[in-house]
Amino acid sequence: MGEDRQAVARGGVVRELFPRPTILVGLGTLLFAAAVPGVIPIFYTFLATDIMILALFGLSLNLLLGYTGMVSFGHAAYVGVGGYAAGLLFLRAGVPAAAAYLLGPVAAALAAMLFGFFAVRLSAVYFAMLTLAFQMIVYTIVFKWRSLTGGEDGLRGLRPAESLQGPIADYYWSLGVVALCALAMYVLVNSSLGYTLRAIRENPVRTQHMGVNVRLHQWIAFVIAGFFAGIAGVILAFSKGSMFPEYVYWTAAADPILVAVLGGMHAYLGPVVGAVFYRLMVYLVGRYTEYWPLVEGAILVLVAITMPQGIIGFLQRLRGGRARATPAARAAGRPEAFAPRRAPQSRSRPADGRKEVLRVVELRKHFGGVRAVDGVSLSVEEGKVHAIIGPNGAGKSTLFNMLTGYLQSDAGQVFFYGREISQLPPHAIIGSRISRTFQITSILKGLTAYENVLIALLARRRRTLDCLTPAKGLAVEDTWRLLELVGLSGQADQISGFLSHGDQKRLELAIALANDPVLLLLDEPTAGMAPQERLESVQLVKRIARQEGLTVLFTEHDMDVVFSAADRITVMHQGRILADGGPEEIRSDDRVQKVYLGVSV
Amino acid sequence: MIRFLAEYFGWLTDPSLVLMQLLSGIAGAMFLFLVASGLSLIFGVSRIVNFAHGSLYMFGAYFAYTWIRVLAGSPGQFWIMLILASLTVAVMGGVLEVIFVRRIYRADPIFQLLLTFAFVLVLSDIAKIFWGAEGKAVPKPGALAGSVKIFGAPFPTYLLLVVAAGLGVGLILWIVFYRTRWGRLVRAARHSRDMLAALGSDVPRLFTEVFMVGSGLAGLAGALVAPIVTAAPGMDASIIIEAFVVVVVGGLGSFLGAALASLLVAELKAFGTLVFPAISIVLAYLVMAVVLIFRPWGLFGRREE
Repeated sequence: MGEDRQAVARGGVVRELFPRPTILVGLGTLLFAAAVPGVIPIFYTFLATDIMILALFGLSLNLLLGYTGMVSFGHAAYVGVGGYAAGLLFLRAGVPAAAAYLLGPVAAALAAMLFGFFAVRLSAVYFAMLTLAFQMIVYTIVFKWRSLTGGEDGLRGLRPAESLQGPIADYYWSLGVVALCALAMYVLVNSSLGYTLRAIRENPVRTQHMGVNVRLHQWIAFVIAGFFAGIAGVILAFSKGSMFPEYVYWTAAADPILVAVLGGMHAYLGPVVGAVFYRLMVYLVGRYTEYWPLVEGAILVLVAITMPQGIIGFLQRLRGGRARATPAARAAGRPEAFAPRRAPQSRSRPADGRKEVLRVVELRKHFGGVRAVDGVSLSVEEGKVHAIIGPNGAGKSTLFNMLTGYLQSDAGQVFFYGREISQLPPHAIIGSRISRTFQITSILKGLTAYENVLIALLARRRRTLDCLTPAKGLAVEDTWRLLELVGLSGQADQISGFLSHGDQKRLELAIALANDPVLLLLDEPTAGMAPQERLESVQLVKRIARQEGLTVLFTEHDMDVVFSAADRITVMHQGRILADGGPEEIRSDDRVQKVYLGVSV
Repeated sequence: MIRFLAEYFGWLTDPSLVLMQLLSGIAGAMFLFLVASGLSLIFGVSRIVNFAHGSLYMFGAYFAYTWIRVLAGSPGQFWIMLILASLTVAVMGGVLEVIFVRRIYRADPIFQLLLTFAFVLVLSDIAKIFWGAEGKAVPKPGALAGSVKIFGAPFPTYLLLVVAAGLGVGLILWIVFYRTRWGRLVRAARHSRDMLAALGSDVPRLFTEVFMVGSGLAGLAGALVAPIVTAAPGMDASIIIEAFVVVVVGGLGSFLGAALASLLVAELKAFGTLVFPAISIVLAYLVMAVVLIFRPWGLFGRREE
């Protein structure tokens, strides 16, 4: 496996981005498509154009569905806006066809920007419903505003005679545009931005705690998807010569979802395969029966229940499963040798080392009548390993969640090096170089261990908006270094959700370290571990902290672990601070003993 | 300015017209309420956004046509038909749940959307195969065919029945939901089906029952609407989006919300037609969008923590 990786490394990132099978499939499809008008009757060029439009539409939707994990049920709106905008500019405003061709997608992107601004604030079903509502608004406008759009009679006469010469020229023109778009989106999904979107799909909370502004990235994905759908709309308008409201009716929103799922939404070419299959089926079945929707529905039922991975996933399963990472998911080659990780030098750390890193003032959080955190004040000194202990329900996790902005506090303040951070969103807090782990391990389960760390590094380097550079070529050394540091370099290509519990915890630690933290917050780093494993893993943390000069704040309820590792201990009980001091002090504190022996104070 | 007001709001000076719109709005709200409360019930428990709910409503209308013909001549045929049509659709819903839907409760939401959308396609074709593409008219019962005078304006008697049915069903739902053991189970299932299963309830059966009740409500709405609009293809796709609007605005899972939102949407349509006929329905979608943006859990729903 190691040799395999190095071979990939020698070939360079470009070859990795375009492995031979991908090139062959891509070129083959293109050649076949280019030959279509020559070898089969002219009628089929219309069918082929339809397939291309649908494939582009499906690819654009899959940026949201397959890559970002957003179920949009209103994507046809942007086909509509793109097509109608280009058509209206061309017909009613006398804009030249070429300009209309460009302005249509821009209009679609603007519409997506407006609608997406609101939609990305919602999750799951509510997001789907809002995108649907926006699509219905677009539908109603084009349906009812007859004087402008022609209403149900459609917008007709979109034939830019001067530029295009009949169906064949039309066909090649569409083919070229669709191929370019497909290539552009391929580059995008393999870029830093593409990987960040995958991270959001896998685990938005973790992604945000890598320092990524999740909403912003979702919005950007929404606008890009809208733009490409707009291109599909323009091709549709000019190749058919007309636009109709039914392209925007709610049932039309299902088309791209259908082709993406049918082909396989976790494979880049899934929507293309789905579009070819779907359109050919419509055509073939349509010749024998008028009840195509019945057949289509039956296929969908079958796919939804038995083939959630779509056609491509089904074929992959036939060829022997998906336990290994696909070639595209494989880690970039590991450098033959690299210097051990050095502590980042850029920290503004005063020489005396007794500076206050974190100060918490009178922090409160109530859930209904429960005072989970009831006026906690706390100070964490630089370079210390500081533990917060307390029985279950003492408020440790609630406190932690407020420190990183995951929960909004009801009152109180948090200062990081004297700067108030209590009002900042999590990604901004993480961005100021505070890292955290969660009590219930939070990693990107569908991605490999390598990709987990890589994305965290990209976030740290503010590369997440880079939509051109292949992500696998970036931060190679540092990714390997971090994996090495936590002892996971042997499992780099494993899908992280399949790693053992302890390995997942270590991976989360590597993600946290990728942020070059000054302060590391660990919420029960040993939860669910065997006693021996607990000690080892805390020792690992302590060693790394010393090596890199980190300040660590962690919660724990195993006393042995705490006393073996902590320089300072804060004891919480019923939402308040019971005691605070060095290990010896705490060990001999009467009240602490009472709490831990179960005697009321 | 005066001219603008006269042009767009002149109807306000005609009290009987205002009353007419108000009443027909209320009647429209009843259909919406019956459909939306079933949709909301199913979503609340199973978290499935059921696109096929509109199809079940359409089948209610078609079964109304079929049962009326089967029952032709028997006394009280219309009333028996209402019951039989609702029951038939309830059974349909139950069958769909048992054979298909229960396989995907834990799947990615996208597959749930896709599956229920597939139902829409299949059911619309099945309806065409059985009943053809032309509309099927269902006669109103003789006693309700005329109209009554309300404050001097004639109002179709049949719509009074619709209003009564809507209110009656609303009351029954409330009682079932808040005063029976079954209702308690349903409310518990909305919070946590796993906990309910752990406590020893037969959760799969409860889900099937919920699907049947929800579908039955859609069937009843379809049977009730059949004498007014005739049963025809396309009535599935148009009602479902309005029902979504109602459910979202009212709050997923809230009956009171569904009732008030039905009223809001129906009256918006009724009066919107007088003011801006072209965009009356856009208003409903706008309301939905605004509610989703500012209170995604709906006006009367409970916020999910």
